Amino acid sequence: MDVQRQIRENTLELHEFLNDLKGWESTVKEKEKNLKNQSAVNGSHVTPAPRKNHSKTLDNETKGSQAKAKDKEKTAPTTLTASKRKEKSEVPESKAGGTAASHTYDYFRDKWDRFDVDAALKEVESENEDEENEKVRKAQDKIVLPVRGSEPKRANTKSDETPAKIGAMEPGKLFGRGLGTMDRLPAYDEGMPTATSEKELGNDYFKEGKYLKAVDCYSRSIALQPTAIAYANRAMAALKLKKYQEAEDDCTEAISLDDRYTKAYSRRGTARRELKKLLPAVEDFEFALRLEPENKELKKQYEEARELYEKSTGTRLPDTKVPVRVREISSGNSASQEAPGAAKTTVPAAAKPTVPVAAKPTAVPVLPMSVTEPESKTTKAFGGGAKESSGASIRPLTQVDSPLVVAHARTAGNVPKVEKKKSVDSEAIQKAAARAAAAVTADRKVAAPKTAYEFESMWKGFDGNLDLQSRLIKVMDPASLPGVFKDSLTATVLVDIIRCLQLLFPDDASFAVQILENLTKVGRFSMTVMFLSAKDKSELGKLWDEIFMKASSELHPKLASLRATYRLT
Amino acid sequence: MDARRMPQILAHITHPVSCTIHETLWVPCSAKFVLLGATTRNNGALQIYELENTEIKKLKDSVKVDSFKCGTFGASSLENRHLATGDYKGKLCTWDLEDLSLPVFHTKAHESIINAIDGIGGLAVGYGAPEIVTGGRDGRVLVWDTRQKDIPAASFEPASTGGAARECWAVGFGNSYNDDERCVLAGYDNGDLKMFDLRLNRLRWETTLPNGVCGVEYDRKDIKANKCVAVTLEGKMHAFDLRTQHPDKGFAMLTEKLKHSTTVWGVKHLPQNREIFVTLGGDGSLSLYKYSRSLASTGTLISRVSQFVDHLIRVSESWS
Repeated sequence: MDVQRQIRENTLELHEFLNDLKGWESTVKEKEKNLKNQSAVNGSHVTPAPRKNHSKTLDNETKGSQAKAKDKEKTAPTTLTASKRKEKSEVPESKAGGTAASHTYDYFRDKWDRFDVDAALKEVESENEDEENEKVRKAQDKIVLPVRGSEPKRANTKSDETPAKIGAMEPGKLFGRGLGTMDRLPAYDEGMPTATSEKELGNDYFKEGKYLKAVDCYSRSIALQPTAIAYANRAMAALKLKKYQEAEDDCTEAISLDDRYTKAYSRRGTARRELKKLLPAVEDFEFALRLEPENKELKKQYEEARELYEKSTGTRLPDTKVPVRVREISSGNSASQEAPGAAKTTVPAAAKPTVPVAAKPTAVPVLPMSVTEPESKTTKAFGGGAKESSGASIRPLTQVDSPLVVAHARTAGNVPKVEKKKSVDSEAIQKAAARAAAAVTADRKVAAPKTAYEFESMWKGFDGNLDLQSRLIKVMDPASLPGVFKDSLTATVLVDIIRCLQLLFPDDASFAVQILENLTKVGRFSMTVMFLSAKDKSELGKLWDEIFMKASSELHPKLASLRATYRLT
Repeated sequence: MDARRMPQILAHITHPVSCTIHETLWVPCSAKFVLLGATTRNNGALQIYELENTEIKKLKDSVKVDSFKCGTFGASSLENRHLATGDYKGKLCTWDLEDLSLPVFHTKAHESIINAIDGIGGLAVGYGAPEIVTGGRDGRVLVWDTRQKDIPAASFEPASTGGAARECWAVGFGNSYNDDERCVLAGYDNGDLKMFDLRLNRLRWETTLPNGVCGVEYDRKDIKANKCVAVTLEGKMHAFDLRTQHPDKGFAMLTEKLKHSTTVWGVKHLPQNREIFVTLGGDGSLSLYKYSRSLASTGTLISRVSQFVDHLIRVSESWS
């Protein structure tokens, strides 16, 4: 029963409460409406002035206390007893005639007027053991000291609050933690700004879009400590400000400090593109892309820059670049200069480099292979490609010295002396050689690949250029072939190798035979050979018969047996 | 009343919000209230709701650059009712609720987060100039007048000697019974409780409580200092009798340990009756207390309710 009653009471109460709330809500809303309407009408009462704590507002206070009392602006906070209301201020005036009683404001007024603030201050401050605080306080006093009306630094002796102020000074002594002292914390808690803090400040400004300020911060950071990142960031801010030349210069600086800084390259590319230095821009993007091949942004930028360049100059940049730096060891061979006419397959290969070597044996940019055959339309072996100005968008990649190159050069040198069968490509090669000699100075060096992957990538880079492929083969030590390929020799590569081996016959016949032998030793060779298509086999068979057999007779038996291994019959 | 004949606290309306709430404030003289907090993307959220019969309606939803930590209407006039806010970056701004696009007043008050704010002198209550006091992580307590930008009307800063300054976690105005007198109570994270006199511009009294102080409040701002309550970590509540100050021993204090012994985040007095106040518990509970003059306890617990929500940080009393 009780519980039921309780429940009923509760629900009643809840109802009451809700009604109450609704009532309140309506009254309050009405009130608010009235308030809004009234606000224009209401003459707002005078609010007291802000607490005095700095010099500016106190300049007017040189008047006498009476004038001050009259002046509405300053009354309230400035006197102990006076309020802003005029009535009170008039009281002292009325008493002007007689001497004021000792407890009144008037009595003290004169005393306070004559009170020497500075002397009192000095006294107090000399007591203060903390010298630092004192200096800081002195400097900050006029700002921080919020005592009403008093201005310690002024000659103005309107210091009503001096007793209080002295009290204010003492806290430094009385309370150990000195909470009453008016210290101002330094701007940077750690002291002077550092290069990193400036850089971060610059980053903040950059995020807010305040690029000029960001540039300033970065410049300060650089002045404190030049880093690649700061330069690159300043370049970015300059880009936003459309100051492209400065951006490019900053990027160059950044790169000089850190040559693997992808962002610096990409930003410089952007700057150059805006400056219409299109080819350098393409170079920069390309290099950045090389550093970070997976970066889609960079790819996009690179493509765009290329398009712009191609549109503007009407030439086409070659698509493929050989990631190989080819340098011919200059082992003379000026004799080979005459050789071009001899139409030897390997000769041109040697001639090409030697010619330029004779011309300019200095190191340089890598050329895409397709460049060397600028106008050859004939052979696909050489790939298509417009002539590209040298020294242009190419960056040398890592070069690998190989002792084999020397051997290669020597063999190449020997080659011209021997008569060779002509090859399909000879004429084109000659022309190319001549042109290459004229246009391009190239040192080329073929490094011996150590893994199947390297081999394949270089191989593919040659793009069917039999001549180069054969040189690559020559560079490789036959005995190393099994090790290089392990078991990843594919049928197509095998066919290609054999095809280019034809260039090695007959002068390097023994070498070629060694190669053939060692190829069989490559892992899973029998499997690979099984994958040769019928067409391949017939082609190879033909090659074998026509070319290989023309070699010197002592090699014949070997060749015959090898042929069996290769299942060519 | 429940079976024990004690007043009950009941939840009237529950409304989900999509931001973290750091402060709730009734807009004075209206049925609206303001939520201040942070959005999920760490921007400042300012939402205004209005009470309508049995539900609340969102009037405005504004997003600002930095998350808000605290706010007060205390220093604004009744006509304007500008909201003063402190944010995580140390900026003090005053907003006109009709037009939230730009703050009416703004200044960089502290180097880091403003932990606590209080306002006085507005709303046609009390005496003296309207002022806002802010306490920040840098340990400074600054008093601002919105007519004076960039330069605080008063400042109480820790001495630069020694190590890191203690953070100021709570501030409150009081003792403002005429135009000149005013005091600020500041609570710090190491348990320091300091009373600053703004007229004399110095420290008037200090003490150290055993735990960090999360909330302080005078029972009334516009009367001569009567009593105040400071709430701390570990569920402790301290009430001080501020009428008599002993030169050595300071003020008389009563301590009460709350049952839940989690952090007490704040204390709010009822404007209509200064003996009644509410404490906000870290376990989500609201405890309503009545101060009694008995020596035994600070106050008898009138009623307690638990909320299965995250801990309550702020509660604002409405007055009309």
